[in-house]
Amino acid sequence: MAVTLSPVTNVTISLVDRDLNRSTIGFHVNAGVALGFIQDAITDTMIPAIEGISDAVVTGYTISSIADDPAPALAAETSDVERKGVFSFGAANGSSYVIGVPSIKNTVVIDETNKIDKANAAVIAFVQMVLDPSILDLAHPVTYLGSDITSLGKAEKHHRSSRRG
Amino acid sequence: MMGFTFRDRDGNSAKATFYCVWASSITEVWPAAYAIGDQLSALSDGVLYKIELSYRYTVDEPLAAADTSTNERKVLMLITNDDDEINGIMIPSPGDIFETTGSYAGIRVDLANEDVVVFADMLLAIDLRTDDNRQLGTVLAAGGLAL
Repeated sequence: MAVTLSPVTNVTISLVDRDLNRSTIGFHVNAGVALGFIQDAITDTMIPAIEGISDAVVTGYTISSIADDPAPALAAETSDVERKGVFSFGAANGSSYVIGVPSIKNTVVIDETNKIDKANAAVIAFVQMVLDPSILDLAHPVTYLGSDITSLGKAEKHHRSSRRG
Repeated sequence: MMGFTFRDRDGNSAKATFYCVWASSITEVWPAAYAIGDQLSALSDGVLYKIELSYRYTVDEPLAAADTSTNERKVLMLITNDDDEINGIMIPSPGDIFETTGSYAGIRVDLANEDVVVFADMLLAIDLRTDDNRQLGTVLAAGGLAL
């Protein structure tokens, strides 16, 4: 992994017009600026200023930070991002949570099945990282509703569509 | 939301998505994101080339937009940066902010308009940057209806 953190944090503000068409405005701030400061700047200063010159209304905003590799190495000949390792987890609130790992290695799939080998060392490390909140502390994975992930159900290889580029 | 985008030999890409609690700060999340990226890379023979952290906020009950609003009509604001380059910001559905007299009436932003002044002041009040991290300058150079 040779990604480099962007020097800026992106702010994207979404607006909707009378006919519910959506559009966005993009800004950038220095990557070192704290999240709370950005939130306050957006709600207290940026949104009022934008709504002053636009007659659309703001419906939300996104603050994002990107690390990327503009010239990534060539992937292995065996790679195929449509071959996914699909891990189905259970969550504390009873819901389920699915993570698809693109281009799952065939070496972690049990031969003559589509099942991922839960005894494989890399699989064990990955599952433990998801299930044990102490490993990643505050930023440990949760469901999209914020519920802790508590158990692993199925782990299988599936083929799912990707996008080009 | 944490997005991890992989690329395969044929140039196709796909993303794995994780969530963490919203209160986590950007600084706290990046080491975790790199750790997750390492674990995903150990399971994949694709190449991880992009990680994106996003914090999403929505207005619970937004007001109805004005009858006159249409996001397909935009105004282009031209702003200098600290290298005297011109940068553009597109504002959808501009309100009543255009000059009212002269040959540019209705198509050029009135830089003396009260709301435009507030917008320009906002650009100064916050340390806004260009995407290559140049500081936006102090001059709202011009603005006009984008065609």
